[in-house]
Amino acid sequence: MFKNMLKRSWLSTIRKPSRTIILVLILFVMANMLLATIAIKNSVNSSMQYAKDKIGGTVYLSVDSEKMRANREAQTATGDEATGSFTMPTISEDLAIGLADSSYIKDYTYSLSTTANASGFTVVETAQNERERQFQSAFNDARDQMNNAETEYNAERDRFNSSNSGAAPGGGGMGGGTRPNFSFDFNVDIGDPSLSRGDTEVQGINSFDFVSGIEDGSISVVSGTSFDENTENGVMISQELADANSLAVGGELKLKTTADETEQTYTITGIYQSTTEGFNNNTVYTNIAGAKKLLSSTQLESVTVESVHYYLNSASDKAAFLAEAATKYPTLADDGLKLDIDDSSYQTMVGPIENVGSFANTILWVVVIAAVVIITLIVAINIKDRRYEMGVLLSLGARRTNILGQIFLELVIVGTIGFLTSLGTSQVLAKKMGEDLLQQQITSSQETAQTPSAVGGRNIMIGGGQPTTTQEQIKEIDVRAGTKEYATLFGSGYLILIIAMILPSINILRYQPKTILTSKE
Amino acid sequence: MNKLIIKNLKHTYSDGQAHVNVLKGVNATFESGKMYAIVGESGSGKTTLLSLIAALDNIQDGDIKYNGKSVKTIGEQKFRLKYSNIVFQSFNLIKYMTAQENVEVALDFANKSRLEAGKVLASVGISKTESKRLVQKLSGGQQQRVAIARAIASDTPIIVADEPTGNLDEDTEEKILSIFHDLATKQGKIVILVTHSKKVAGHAHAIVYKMRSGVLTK
Repeated sequence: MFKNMLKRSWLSTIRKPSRTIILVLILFVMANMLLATIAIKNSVNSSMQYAKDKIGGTVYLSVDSEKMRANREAQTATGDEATGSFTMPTISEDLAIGLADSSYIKDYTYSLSTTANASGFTVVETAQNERERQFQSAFNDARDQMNNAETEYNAERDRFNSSNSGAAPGGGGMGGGTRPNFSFDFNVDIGDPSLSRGDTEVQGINSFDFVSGIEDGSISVVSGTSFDENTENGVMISQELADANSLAVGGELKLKTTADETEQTYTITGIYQSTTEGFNNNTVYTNIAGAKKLLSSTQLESVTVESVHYYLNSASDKAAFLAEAATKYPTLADDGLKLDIDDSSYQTMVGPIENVGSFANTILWVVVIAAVVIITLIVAINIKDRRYEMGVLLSLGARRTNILGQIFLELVIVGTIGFLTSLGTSQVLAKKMGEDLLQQQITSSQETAQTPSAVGGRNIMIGGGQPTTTQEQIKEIDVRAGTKEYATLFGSGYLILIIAMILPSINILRYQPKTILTSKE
Repeated sequence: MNKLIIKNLKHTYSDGQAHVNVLKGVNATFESGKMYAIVGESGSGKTTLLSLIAALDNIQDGDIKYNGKSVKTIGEQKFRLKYSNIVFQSFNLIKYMTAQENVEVALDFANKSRLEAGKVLASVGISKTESKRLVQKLSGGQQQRVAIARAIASDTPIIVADEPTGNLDEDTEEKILSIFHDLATKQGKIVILVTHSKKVAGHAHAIVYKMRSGVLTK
């Protein structure tokens, strides 16, 4: 039966070439549009998934600046600002490590910032040094002034007390005739050595590979190798610091703690270079253990850390990890901290491409609706022209399904020719369309970014160190139709053909042959 | 002997508000091996009767039975396929097919071998060369013979024909009539022809029925 249907379909297709060519051309155009938009859409989805995997695979523990701001605003509104105290939340090392103890985490990193003083080498001149000197000078001036004020005040107090000698010390009373001694001590100590900053910035991090500049390419290793958490007393120093002090890989670097001037000796494992403008070249990177050697005993009692990143096994583990963290540390939010992905980076990455996807989606629907309407009209006209033939076939004893099958097979034949010929051209069209759409969106987003209200910048650190924009926009999409796209095209294409043929065919075949054959329409 | 019995057959056409009673209770019996001619004026209901015998339309009232089995019970589609075939006045051949392919379509539906097409076409006088030509390239007489070949290809026991010789010259008309006569007498089919032609009605072996205002009489 199928063979007979196929034969009639084939005969109808090849013996009516003009009709076949018109249908093939229309289906070819529709298929090109369909395949191009499907390819763009799938490519956009892949790129977005890539962005999700890249961004969503990392969870940050940071200070919830939004919540902090909201709390401050609430205090201001209720008038509690004067009495209420404001403490900036900090992330303890214990919390950072405790959260990492999860089956969803494949790796994690955090940094520990401190300063130390150079020992046996000279720091290089940087903008930070200048600022530091200015700060230190202002600090010292303020301390001297306060000490002078203390001396003067205490002398004045002693003079006052000696002029009231004979009166009961600390005595009082309204009718006593003598004034009480003034025993208040003005005692200021702002010269705590632990508050002073060293001339060398020390960054402790699990591994030098986790330094944010490594990921975005602004920091690179010039010589030697980077350290990791198992490297004992290893440090990475800048090229500038090395050149200024003739330091080399394998050499020693000595640092003194700011608390008690204890000297610590490190081995230079590598030398790095930063391309970031204004970078402090006196920054020495070491692992967490190395950095802790420079902390005072007070600081070691409660180590606070920054830039806490958790690398998930898969981006899809995010929700489970967050749920687990909420169970293990239920007061996390109340403590002013939050765990989340870097949403702003995700938006930066996928912004233009998301718009392309949305546009491609709209085009896809327009194309599908247009295809259904146009093909339905053409097929309807074609079927109407063949009502006589359908009446004849029914009069010969054909089943209605047999005739429907023949018409469908005819459409499958022309559809397959149209779809197959579109496979080559649609690749070119899809690529061109995808690139043009993306460039349009990138230009548009750049124009928006140049407006005064727009906030730009990279690696902006907020509170506990959540980078807000560390990723570049996705500026290229690989629009390529593959098996999945072809399958979608053929599937949706044949579905459109079925929709197009079913109504006009049934509209004729619902009648008896006599009605069909005698109908004048 | 196979019998086709028409019992109190009534049929009405509705055209908006107007209702036309085309058949007003037709009764008739047709037997195998015989050729019948139904004559009558235009609009008397001949073609409607023929359409109902060929199961091209639904029976509204009354019944048509073949060997005791009602068309309604058998089903119109199955009746067209197994019992009755029609030769249209305007041939109704499928234009984009050759003579042979037109016949093969009927053979396919009847689940018969396509190889039969050549023999059937030869039996109505269509040569092998003619059978390979598109039907629209054939003459009226040749097309009529292809239409007959298609009707007889599925070997149904009833063959009905609407004005089968209407557009043909005398020589061809005679040949076509003999084909129908042979179908009845040699193949034992019930052959019913609807015609205006006195020649057809006066054919020596035709049993003539007259249709007048929806009533069939001998």
